[in-house]
Amino acid sequence: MTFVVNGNSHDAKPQPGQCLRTFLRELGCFGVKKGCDAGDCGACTVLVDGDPVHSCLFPAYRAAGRAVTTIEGLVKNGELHPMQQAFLQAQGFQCGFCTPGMIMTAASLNQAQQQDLAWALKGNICRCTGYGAIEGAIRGVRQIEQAEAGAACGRSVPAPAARAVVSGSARYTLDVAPAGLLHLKLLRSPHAHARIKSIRKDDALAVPGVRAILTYEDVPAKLYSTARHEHESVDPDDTVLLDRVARFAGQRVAAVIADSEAAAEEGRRKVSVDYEILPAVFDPEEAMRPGAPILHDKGPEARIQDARRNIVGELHGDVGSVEQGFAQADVVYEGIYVSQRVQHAHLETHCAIGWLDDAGRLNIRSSTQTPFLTRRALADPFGLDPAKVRVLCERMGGGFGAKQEMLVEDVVALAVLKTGQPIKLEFTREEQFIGSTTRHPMRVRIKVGARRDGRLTAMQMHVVSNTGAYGNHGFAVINHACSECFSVYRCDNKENRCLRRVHQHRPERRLPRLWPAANQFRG
Amino acid sequence: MLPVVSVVIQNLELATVGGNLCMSLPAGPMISLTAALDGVCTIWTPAGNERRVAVADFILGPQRNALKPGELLRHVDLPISALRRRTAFRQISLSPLGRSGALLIGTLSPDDRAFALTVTAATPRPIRLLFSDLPSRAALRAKVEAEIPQQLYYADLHGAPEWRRHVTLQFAEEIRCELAGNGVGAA
Repeated sequence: MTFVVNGNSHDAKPQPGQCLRTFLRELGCFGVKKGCDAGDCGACTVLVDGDPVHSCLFPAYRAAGRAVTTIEGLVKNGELHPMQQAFLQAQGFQCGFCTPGMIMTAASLNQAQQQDLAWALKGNICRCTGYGAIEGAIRGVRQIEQAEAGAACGRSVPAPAARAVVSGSARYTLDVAPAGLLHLKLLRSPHAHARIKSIRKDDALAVPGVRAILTYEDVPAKLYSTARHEHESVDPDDTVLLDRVARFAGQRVAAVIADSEAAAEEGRRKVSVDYEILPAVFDPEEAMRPGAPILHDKGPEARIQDARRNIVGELHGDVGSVEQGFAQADVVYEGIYVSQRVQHAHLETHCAIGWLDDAGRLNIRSSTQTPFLTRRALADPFGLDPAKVRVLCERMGGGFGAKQEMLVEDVVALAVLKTGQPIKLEFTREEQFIGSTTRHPMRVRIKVGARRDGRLTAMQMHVVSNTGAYGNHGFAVINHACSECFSVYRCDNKENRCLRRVHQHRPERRLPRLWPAANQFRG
Repeated sequence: MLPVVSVVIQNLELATVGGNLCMSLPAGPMISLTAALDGVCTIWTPAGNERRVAVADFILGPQRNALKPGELLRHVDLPISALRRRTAFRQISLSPLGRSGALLIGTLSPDDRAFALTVTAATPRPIRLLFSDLPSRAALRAKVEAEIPQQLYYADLHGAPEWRRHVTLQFAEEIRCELAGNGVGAA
């Protein structure tokens, strides 16, 4: 079959069922991004015979003999397309991961379609909340100024990566193709609480292309936290790289490494796990009651405040006397507020590529907000000299706090060290929801007393925060959410109690940043 | 009657009737259309046989349908009799381009005044309410309440179940009035 991509002919045969997105990336068009692989987000938008399509839904074979244009193809002889130029001069992007798809759709619109951008851009999602700037780009707004060298201070200069972002050449984590790259897929627990009795690997190892299968038998014994903070002691050490006990449905159980993603997935289907299903608890209040299943039967080295009651930590703070304060109040307000479990939904999913370089140094190219803290966290359990570990992030397609968390780098490092080969792991969008982190759902009971002149006389807050099956950011989040926010109010009588974070059998979760009205995920 | 097709520009040329049915979302507009017009699915089986199932029975729930492994949906037939009926249509979403929270279609036969109300989007699967004649306001309301108890209304971020129940009852009555030809709100 002949494919014409950006004016160049390619003789190639897509795999059966392969979508155009992965096919174009194999041809080196890394400007074609993966956001959802479900036709919702539009990060993979390309033009086929001039019409925009979601290349994740478009069968590759159907593009044979038709003209395919990707973001790279809009650049002619080094000159940006007018729509690329428009996005550059309006700075119509933030992380830039949605930008290639956004520009492809925008470049295909006629004047009539441009009148109704809410409809015309419905198939393109920007998660950095940049729609105002995107609309500005299409309407011709100019946000940037030229500044002579040495005179940029106070001027609206463009982002240094602007040209690379709008031309599709900005390299995100997976926009490289190392030779000999192997692919890793994670087998996840279907049970909320279960002990692994045994894992049978022989059928999976017989699948052509499968190189290795790693389980609890292959990991360092050392406990750590996936959360990354400057001070390690902030987060409880309750995690083993591949644990013999699953504490939420979606917890990783085994890593299958193969020559292709398809072989790794086929191998994963053939891994047979014998589980002893254990009682599970799903409600944070119930998890604290006597007799509730205990998630982490661990000692003080794990820094779990009350492991027998599934409480990661508590935070109490009193000032003055709230009883007196309420007695002095003209008005008392009381209410209960509940927040939900929400995933950050950065368009670039968690992903990493790892390899050993010629000097024997472990390299992890990752989509992370904390490369240096992750380096430290990797060196420790594997007993490596930190100087022999390098973690880098070239450009990140959104993180919003969820990438202050080591969710892929540890298992990629294990696979690299075990096989000696370069390894890639890329979460699917589904894995983001079942196997990554989310906001901590909280139940907040607040009682506030005030005088008619507006003075606060008493504030009382009781919070139960649900950190899921693992503690990770639980303690840090409660500090920000409850202590810091409470402290900014001028009030003589405060009671800040029952600030608990509770383990229960759900995916671990965390809150990226807390502002008093945090309803957006912005890094 | 033209169901609101919540398709995005990238899929305008690609989305298919069958794909919309097989996705089996509560707010699948082609499900609404073909269920309301007595559509019948023809399914090819791996053994080389065919089987037929009404669209209303094809959809079992959100992203669940009657297809078994290896089967495919070949086509959907709409009977001529259904196309001769008068129709009335109501749809609502929480936002102007959002997914439907409720989509109701009523049909009235020109021959015997048989009335059919098809509720989609508000419920996990299509609910069809059949009447031998155009019912009274009270009879219609009673049947909607009986056939769609509160717990059957779909709950997701595209609409609270209480709201879906409210707009379903409202639209059912509006459709009844429109097909009766005596104006909205008439008894």
